[in-house]
Amino acid sequence: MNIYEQEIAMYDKRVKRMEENPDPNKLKATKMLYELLRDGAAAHLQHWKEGKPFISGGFGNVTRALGLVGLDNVQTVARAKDVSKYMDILRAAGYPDDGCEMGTVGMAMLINGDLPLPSIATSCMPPCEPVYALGLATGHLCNIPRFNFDIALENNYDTLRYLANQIEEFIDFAESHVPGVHFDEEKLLELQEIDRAGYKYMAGIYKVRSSVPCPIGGQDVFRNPVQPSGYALPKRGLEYLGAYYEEVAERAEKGIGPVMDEKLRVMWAVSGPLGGFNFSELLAKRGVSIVHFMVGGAYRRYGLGPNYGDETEYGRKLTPLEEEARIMNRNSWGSVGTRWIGDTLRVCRELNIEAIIVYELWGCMPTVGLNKVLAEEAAKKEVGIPVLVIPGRQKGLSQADERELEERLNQFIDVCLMRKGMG
Amino acid sequence: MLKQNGRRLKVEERLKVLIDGWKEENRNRWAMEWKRRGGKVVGLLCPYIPEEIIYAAGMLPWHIRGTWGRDIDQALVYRPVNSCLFCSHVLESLLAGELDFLDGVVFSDRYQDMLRLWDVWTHVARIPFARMVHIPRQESECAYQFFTREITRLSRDIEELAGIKITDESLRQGIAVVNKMRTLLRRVYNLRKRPVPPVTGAEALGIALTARVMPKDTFNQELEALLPYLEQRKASLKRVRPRLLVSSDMLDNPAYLELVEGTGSLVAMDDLDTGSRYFWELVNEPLGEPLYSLSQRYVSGPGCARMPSWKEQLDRVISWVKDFNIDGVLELPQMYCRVREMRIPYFMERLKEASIPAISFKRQYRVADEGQLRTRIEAFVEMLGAEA
Repeated sequence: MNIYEQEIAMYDKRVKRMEENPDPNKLKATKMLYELLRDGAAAHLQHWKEGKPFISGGFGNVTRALGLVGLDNVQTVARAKDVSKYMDILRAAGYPDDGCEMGTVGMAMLINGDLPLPSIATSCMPPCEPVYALGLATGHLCNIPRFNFDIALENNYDTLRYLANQIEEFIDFAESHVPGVHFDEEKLLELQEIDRAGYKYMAGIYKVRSSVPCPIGGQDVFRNPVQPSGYALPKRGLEYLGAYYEEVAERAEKGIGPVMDEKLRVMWAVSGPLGGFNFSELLAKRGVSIVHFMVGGAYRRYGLGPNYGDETEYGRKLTPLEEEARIMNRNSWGSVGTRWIGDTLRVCRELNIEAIIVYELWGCMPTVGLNKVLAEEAAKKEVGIPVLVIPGRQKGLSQADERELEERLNQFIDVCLMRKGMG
Repeated sequence: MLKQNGRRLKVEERLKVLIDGWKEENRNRWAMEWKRRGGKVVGLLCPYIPEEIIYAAGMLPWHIRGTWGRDIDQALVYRPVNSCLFCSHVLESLLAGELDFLDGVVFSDRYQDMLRLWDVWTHVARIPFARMVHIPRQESECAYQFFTREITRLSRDIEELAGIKITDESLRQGIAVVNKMRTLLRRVYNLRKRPVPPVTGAEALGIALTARVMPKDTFNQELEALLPYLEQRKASLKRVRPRLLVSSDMLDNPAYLELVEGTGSLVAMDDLDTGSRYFWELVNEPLGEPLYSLSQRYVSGPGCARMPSWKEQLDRVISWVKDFNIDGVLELPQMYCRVREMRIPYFMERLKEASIPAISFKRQYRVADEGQLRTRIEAFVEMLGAEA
């Protein structure tokens, strides 16, 4: 089974499970999400069967406006059933097997024929060096045209124009190197309009998390909503976000959430063990709400910065390409650490978060070495938030690893509760 | 004319000063002398930072390396063990106070782990002046213009540190001096095309490393005076074949090349950011606007594995293999150097297509696991010898 077939089967199963055994603690909107992801996978499978072009990487809405479909060779690691098989493939091909799984497993899937061969590859830095390297390596492995976006460290007008110029160059590049590809500005404007509406919902979903108890919990926290164009079917993505927001807003209004007897509110950051160990359930049993999953730049991800169409940031209306550049530019993930730490601590203040658990993913270049700095900054008197840093991988945890993780989480919760006089 | 304890040195001794200038007991000495004379020293963590700007401000550009000690316990408080070892060793050096003499440091975001080092560096705030420069991963007019603005901003900050204004004239002078260093080093390297070169691979790298810590004017004067001697010198080598090209990054200890040459081979050329790539390209003269000319030089060219121009990087390695009559390529990527690791299959494939024997062994930052490395390299060298 290729990855799309696997996803269709997996989401079908999940939809059925939700219909047969609804869990009141889980969001109903998640069923819409599974259907959306299932149908998105089917659409991508069809795109593949019809021989239409895929892109490894891409750049926001410009990708879709060019008629290209993004090859999801990064997030697919989460759905990979047998990661050890892919690690064997990586080793045999000479690629590293001990780095960030998100930066390598997609390569093995491509080699194994589980993903379609792309027609063009892009890479960009920041946000993520393992993914940047994946983009470069994919381009060379598949012997396809390659384009690199260079993103500066600061978010200002100069860097906005720098990036917008590159997007223009990319459009010319894609049109001249991939047969049949043509930039449709109307399509871009349509997607930006959909995303503008989507970001408003995302901002709302973010804000309701400040309610006590937190209206979202368990694995729902880790299904970070993305802007509608981040889904294969953007209009349905917008519908999903609307339903998601309505549901959590209603919960917040009624004062209900999965962890009613909320003793501690935590942020979970960077990554986590995938499949198997249900740490969110463990925390919930101890009265701990995971209020927010911090990965990627908070303000880009949650639409909290200037939205599409905003004219106040630069004193004028931006061009459509500048709008795309703006979204990428305000990313704090993988940039200088002060931006990401600043975002993280701001989220803690805004959402009344009392502790941070960082699952420090092996080989995560955006965060390696930053977590101790975060811990020291957060521990300062004026902030006073304890931070637990746990190194680990996403897949392939042994039972001993899970036991150790459980132990460390329990000890951390004990300390946090003692600090609150609840020990 | 170099002197030691008032005595004029003989020519081989003078050469030895350049060859051994990188050694632990020597590398700080020019920086300390510079400071004793009232000057300031600016540490650099990346060959993409234009040294010319530091020179133009009347300060000494000094390339930082990490501690070569085994223990990096203080650094590991902040950094996981499976991250860039160069960065971890540099951090250890900082936390141990070995870099306290620096008046400032300039970083680049050439790779993400360097950005992470920056985060800890500024957090511990041991050296007040620290600047980060974005290095474009693109070669285009847009990128040249952007980098010109980046280094213009850097120049303003460097002026403030130095307390003097950097003029176009002082920049042109800086470019001329650093270009001269590059030209002289290329002349030394070109002599290595000979069947019996004047210097071993380890010695050649030693000279390039000394250029990174010695005042440029002094270095240029010395090397220029020594070139006639080098034209006639023959390196002391066990064997002169097979001829190897060693490729790596952050390899700043020639002991690694001594280890390689100790297996009965000659390192006739390198593809190192501390070696050939440090000086191979010149700033184009005659100059237009000096900062723009600098930008073009530093942004263009194949660069290191972290830059997207992998094809051009391999094109250059292959052309060096031909120019330097190389029998085999030995890649020694530093462990946990993630982008470089992802490039290895492409690196090997290109060399295979060009019928160039090649092999890759990961290494630590400091010289370690010598026995294992020596055994592996010996096998490669033996294979090359058999093929020849």
